[in-house]
Amino acid sequence: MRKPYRFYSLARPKLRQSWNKYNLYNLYRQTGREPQIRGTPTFFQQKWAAKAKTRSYHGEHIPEKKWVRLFSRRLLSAVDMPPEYLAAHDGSEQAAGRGSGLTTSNVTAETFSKVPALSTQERSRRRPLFGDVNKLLSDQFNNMTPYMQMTFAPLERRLDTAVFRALFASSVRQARQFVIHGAVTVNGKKMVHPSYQLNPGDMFQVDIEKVMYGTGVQKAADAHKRLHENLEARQKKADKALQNAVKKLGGNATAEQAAAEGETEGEKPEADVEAAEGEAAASEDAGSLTPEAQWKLNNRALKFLLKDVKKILKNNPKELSAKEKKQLRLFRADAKRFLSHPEKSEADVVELIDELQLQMKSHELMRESFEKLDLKEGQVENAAEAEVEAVEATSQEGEAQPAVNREREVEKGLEGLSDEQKTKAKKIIGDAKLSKEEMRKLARLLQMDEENPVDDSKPYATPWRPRPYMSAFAFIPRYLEVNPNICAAVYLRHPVARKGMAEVPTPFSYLTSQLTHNWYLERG
Amino acid sequence: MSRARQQMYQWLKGRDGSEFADLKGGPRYLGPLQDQPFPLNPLFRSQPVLDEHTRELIWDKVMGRGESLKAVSAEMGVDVRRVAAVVRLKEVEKQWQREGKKLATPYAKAVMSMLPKTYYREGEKNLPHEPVNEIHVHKLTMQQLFVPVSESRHFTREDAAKAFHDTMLSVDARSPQPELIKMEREILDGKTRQESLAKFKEATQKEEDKVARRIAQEQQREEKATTKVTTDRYEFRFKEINADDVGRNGRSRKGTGWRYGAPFDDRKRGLVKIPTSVP
Repeated sequence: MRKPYRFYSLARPKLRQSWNKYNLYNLYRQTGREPQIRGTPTFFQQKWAAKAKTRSYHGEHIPEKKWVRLFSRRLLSAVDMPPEYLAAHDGSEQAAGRGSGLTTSNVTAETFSKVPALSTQERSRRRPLFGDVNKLLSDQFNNMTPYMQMTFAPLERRLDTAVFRALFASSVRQARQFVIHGAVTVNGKKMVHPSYQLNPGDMFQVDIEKVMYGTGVQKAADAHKRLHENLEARQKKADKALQNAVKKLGGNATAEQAAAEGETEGEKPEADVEAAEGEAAASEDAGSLTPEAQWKLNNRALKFLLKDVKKILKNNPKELSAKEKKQLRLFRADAKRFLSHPEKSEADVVELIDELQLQMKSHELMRESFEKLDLKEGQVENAAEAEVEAVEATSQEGEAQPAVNREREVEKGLEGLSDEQKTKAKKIIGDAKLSKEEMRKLARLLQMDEENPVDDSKPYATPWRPRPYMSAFAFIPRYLEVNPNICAAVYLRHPVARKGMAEVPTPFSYLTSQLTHNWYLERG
Repeated sequence: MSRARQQMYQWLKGRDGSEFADLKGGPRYLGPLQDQPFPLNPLFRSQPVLDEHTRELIWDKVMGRGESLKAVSAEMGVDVRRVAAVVRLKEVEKQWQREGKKLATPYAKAVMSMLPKTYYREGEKNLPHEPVNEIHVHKLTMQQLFVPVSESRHFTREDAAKAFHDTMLSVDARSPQPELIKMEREILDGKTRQESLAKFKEATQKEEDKVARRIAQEQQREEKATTKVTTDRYEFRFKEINADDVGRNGRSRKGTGWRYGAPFDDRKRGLVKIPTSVP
């Protein structure tokens, strides 16, 4: 059915199956209450009003004719029969001694029940209304089975309502749209009929992206404009810094050649980072940069990369501010560039961190070998080689062969160093390094970020956050078993009424539901 | 802005409204009672759901340690149907993880933080999640009945059921956990709890094994009845069928195929096309 004009209204308020804030406010100010009796409304008038009220909430999108066909006067209920009671008594104690009007025992099944009772703790925020009919009437309800609240139970069987009740959509109309658009499967098969009546044991599953869209904060029009600008600026900055470094270090024709090479390949800026990043073998072949310059360049890049990370790592990873999250995102883009991954690639976080770690380690090894060179100028190479071998043997046992090869290649870059260069190199030895602990923390941080990333391609605001007023509506009735991780749920059984409690979520009081039920009984 | 809207925004921005806007851990509902989402309806409460660890534990007990569903249900105070559903959903989740499919973790975390939860800690004393032996109120028992019996008569549940209807079963017979009742009876008769618990577990395990065996046999029978012919592209499966199974009018559900000439009703006007069940 078409959505009515002024669906959420404050002047003529109606309660809706929705998480809308207007609806929340209407719920708060008790819109659906029974009116104070003024004049003498006839029974018919009372029933009509009650029906109109409840139908604006329950299956408002379903034509009246369809609902009337669904209505059932057989209301389901259940009682808890603890096995301890059934074992101890055969039921004859209920009948004993009643003839004389004497109560001989107070044994009931309920006294054996161990299930925790409902909370009676009040939030005394508001002072109760004087002479509140609803409240006065509800005092006795704890001792009865509220059958009348089950009037709309047949609607809870519908697929769209169940999707809404499982908290996969923010309103029934949205749930209905999800179903129609083919985002919902029942028992693994696509089901496009929102009026499909779930059978006990049916499993329904909603597309995760749809659920995140339906329950998440809405995306603003230019939400990630700033981030994109920042990313671009950052990239430019990185390129410039690198070019400067190349110029400064080289100072000769070869370096300029390298820079020119970078400029010609301007469209792929990662290319010159790659050139500078320390592919020792390649650059040796080209003869463009000395190993020392290589190292220096690498050092600069690393320093640049890890500039902000240390600051982020100091804070609690769970309480990252939006700015820090953005910085993390920038770091990720930088790291990808540094490790010469294409920026768009969906590199795994673990992979990324492993590679970064490898880079840093080789950087560190170089530093160590510089020191070695300094100490014993005589047998530099052998010692360095031995040292490297030892370190490799101890730390990198499990590493893959190519990784070791790569490290060695970087190491070889050091071999032909003069004394002057060594002293220079020692100066360069930077503080751009992270301890093992910090590295682990960074990996964890990135992994957490991966869980809920900033992603412009999504139709909802990223990182994902729940809708503002969701918590007031967040409840899952017991006839559903929900696994929110995969956005799937099982319809266990039909909703039932128990003593003092009905499972159909309805915002109306017992009195209203009773009048409605009487309307649909069609008995005058 | 109208006056009503002004008031609404005032409330939303005020202390009460802003509480709902931002998450501050733990469930938060409108109602006067703590677990009451609708202010006018104290008869509906937000009941706790199983928390993540408990669901994982249930899965581990059933799939990892091979305990029977009924035993897990009785031990943890969770309905048998819910135990089965939890395992089924967890299996799908594990499969997703194996396939490297991304889970809706941020959503799940947010939702679970908004809901009241039941925790089950192994080796500790835990409150049950829900009644495990719940009986539907039968339609026949919803009438008031006056049955005159002699004062000396021992009038039990069975007799009461018989009074309602000849074929009516008593509560004990309709229980989803008859083994549990038997166990409690044994304990009352003087056996130790440990002993009868072991017996209960064995009985439920046996029952489950029986069901598993029956399913396996059925599968086997099915397989035996089908002849498979594999070509390079397809696997053809042939089965013996009886053409008479379709019945006199060619429309019997038991039969295979459709009698030539019998009109299909599946596109007729006025007939409901929405499936009633999905296998």
